[in-house]
Formats: sequence, structure tokens, C-alpha cells
Amino acid sequence: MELCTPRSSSNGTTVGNIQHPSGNGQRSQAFNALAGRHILVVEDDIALANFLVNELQVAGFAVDSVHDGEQALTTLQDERRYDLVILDLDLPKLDGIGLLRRVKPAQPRLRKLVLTARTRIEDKVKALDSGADDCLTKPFSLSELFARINALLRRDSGVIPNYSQVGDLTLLREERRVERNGRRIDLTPREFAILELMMRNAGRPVSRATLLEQVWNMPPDPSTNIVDVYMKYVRDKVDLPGEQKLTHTIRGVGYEMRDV
Amino acid sequence: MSSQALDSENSAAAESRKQVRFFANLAEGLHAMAQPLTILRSSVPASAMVGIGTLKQQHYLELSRKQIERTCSLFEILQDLVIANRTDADCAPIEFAKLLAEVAEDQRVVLQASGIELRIVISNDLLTIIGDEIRTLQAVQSALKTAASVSAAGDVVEFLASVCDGYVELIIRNDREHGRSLNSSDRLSISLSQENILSQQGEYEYSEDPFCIRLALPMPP
Repeated sequence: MELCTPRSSSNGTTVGNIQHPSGNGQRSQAFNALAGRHILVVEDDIALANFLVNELQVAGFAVDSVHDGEQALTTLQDERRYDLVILDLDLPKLDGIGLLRRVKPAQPRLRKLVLTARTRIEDKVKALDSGADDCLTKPFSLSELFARINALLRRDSGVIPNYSQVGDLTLLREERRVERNGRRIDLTPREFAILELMMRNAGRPVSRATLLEQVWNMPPDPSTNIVDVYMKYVRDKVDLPGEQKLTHTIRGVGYEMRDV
Repeated sequence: MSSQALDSENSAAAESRKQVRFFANLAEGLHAMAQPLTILRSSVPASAMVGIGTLKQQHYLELSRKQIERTCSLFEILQDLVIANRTDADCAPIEFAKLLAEVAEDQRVVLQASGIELRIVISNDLLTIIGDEIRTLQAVQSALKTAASVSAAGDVVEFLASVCDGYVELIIRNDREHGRSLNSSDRLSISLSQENILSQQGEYEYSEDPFCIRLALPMPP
């Protein structure tokens, strides 16, 4: 697997705030909010894969690429951090339809964008029925690809505020900074994702299933206690002895953040 | 059923198979061409963008140049495929061993530059065959090109020619398992190689993993 991280464009433009090559020349503010999201490109044509990876990186995404269906399946099963997979239908070893069918039940929240040179309606319907969220026909333009990526990732994002507050606990999403009453709280990425989701839903219970799905990208699984384990880590860092308790267990449901 | 009717039925079935192959190859060709065209659709406008800087501009220009070359090369393969499928082979005596030795030697040098060894074994009893020299040459070249494309530095590609059951047979293989998979351009090259052999009443087989192509042409009665 080729692993790549977001980087600056060669002329020094800020990551995630660039003009897209085939676009209309307007700065795409939408990408700022989506920068840093993880994308897996599955394309057997190496030149096209490299081109897509490069352009997506310049747009601020964290991108990995693989070149056949089996590698893609392994990567997606091992690494549950992807927000979107962009895949070709005509893949060696395991074709795109087979890949979609095997990935969909395990990762319902992973967005799947299919690229195909097949123009028949039946092929697109088959891809959508197999779990694809969208289809794009080759040869496509990058501006259209970016617009579709943007639309797909926005479905999950909604309007996510950069700033959340519950009592004296504050969270700055883009800066990945959490403070309570002036005390800086260091969280791992997973803990941060849990707290961010909890704070966005402050005053409402968040189920274990929702946490499992949105933080781990995993389907509901009553046999795992991973949510409870991580929730304890978060609670130990957020609610120190003597401080007002902000994280609450809702018996039989999950957890809730509230100020009272 | 009379033998004339049987011949006519066989001929219709052969033509039908040829048609199916033709449309499958055409679809493969269009699929292969969609890849560089996708890059070009964005890299050309990008290279003309104002204010992106010289380095970026050069990057997009070079990328576009490579994809234009690639598109042209795929277009040529597609043209050759149409010719091989829609026209009759122009058969004449071919000194098969000489033809193979020349192609293999040319490719050996090219492969060597990429760190791939081409091991050539051409049997001494290869006879003159009746075939279309251009198609045979193109078939062998395309097969070798694909073998090179899926091989990596350090690999050994075997090129084995012999006589077997009334056919002259050529096997091109790389025994390494899990090599690079064939992409749409490779598949199109194999389609051309295959069409050139089948249009001469030859036999053609290939497998991807490990990579192996077997082509055979009938010896004169």
C-alpha cells in the first residue's frame, strides 16, 4: 500500500485552500472543512492512481492507494480510519462490485465512490445496488470528482461547529484542542473523536452503537466493550476528582455529556 | 446433416465468435483509453492556469505529454485489432525460428535495461510455417511487451519455442507468483496478440498469476 499524507502544493499554497487544476479558478472553501479526511484510492491504472493521489493530497486529504481489489479489502478491514473509498469497477483479483458487497455490511458509514469507464445504466445501477454511494464515468474532470467527494463527505459532516462547550469544558475541532477551566487536556485521536461526538450531542444520550459506528466505523456489536473502555479513558481525563461531573452513563443506552 | 451444411454451420459459429471477440476487444480498448483521457481532461486545463508557477506548469505539461503518447499508442493497438479482426491474414512461408530470434533479441536488450532477464530457448527443429508475418511478429511483440510490463527488476522471463503435435508453440512466462496484475492497457496488448494468432487458425491461451502466454501456429501439412 502506498501511504501518503496531506502536503503543500509545490508553489507553497496552503493545504486545503487551493485552486483545483480543472476547476473554475475559485478557491474552494468547502475543502477547508474536509481537509484531513482519509481517502483510499483503489485504481489499477498506476498513472491515474498517482494522479488522483497527488491532486487529493494537494486538496488537503490524507490519501492511501492500492491497485487491486484484494489489497483494498485487506486495507479496509485492517484500517478503519477511512472516510471515503474511491474505487474503479474493473479491478484485478477482486472486482469493484465484489469489493463493494464485502465492505458494505462491515462498514456502513464508509462512503464509496465508484469510478468506471462503463457507461451503461445497468452497470451504474448494479454498483449503486451493491453499496456504492455515487458513480462517476471516465473520463471525468477533477472538478466534478472533487464536487462529488465534497458532497459525499458533507453528508456525514453536516454543519460541524469548530467550537463546542459543555460547562467549563471547551473543544476546538480544527486545532484539536481541549481545555477545561484553563487546563489543557491531551487526548489520543480516538478519545478526541469520542469527546467531539459527545459534545456535539450535549444534553442527549449517545448510544454505544452510535459511538461504535461513528468513531470506529464498525457495525453495532453487543459483544464488544471497547466503547466503555475508551469512555473511561475520556472520563478520567475530563472529570478530575473535585470537578463537576460532565460525562454521565445512561444505563442501558450509552453516555451523555451535560453540565448538570 | 450433410457435410456442406455442417461446414456452413461451423463457419457461422466461427464468425459469431469472431464478432463477440471484436466487440469485447473494442470495449477493452475504450476502457483502456478512458484512463489517460481522464488525466488529460484535467492536466491540460491545469497546465494553462494562470499563477500556478513554472514548476507546476511543467509538471502538468509533462504529465499531459505522457498521456497523449499513451493515448496514441492505445489508439494504434485498437486500429491493429480492428485490422486483425476484420481482414483476412496474408499468409506466406515464414522462417519462424529466425523471426522469433530477432524479436527476442531486440526485447532482451530492452528488458535488460529494466533489470529483467529474458531467457531464450528456441528449438532447432522449428520449421518454416505458413502464416502472416506481420501478424505473427505483432503477436509475439505484444506478448513480450505485456510480460515486461507485469515483471519487475530481478525477474526472469522465459521465452520457449518448440514443435508440439503439429504446431509450433511459443511460451512466454514469468514464474514469479503475485506479480503486478494486468491493467487495461496490458489486457488490450494481449487482445491484439491473441487476435493476430486466432485470425491465422492458431491457438492462444494466457494466465495472469503466474503470468504465462502460450501461442501456437499450425505447421503446414
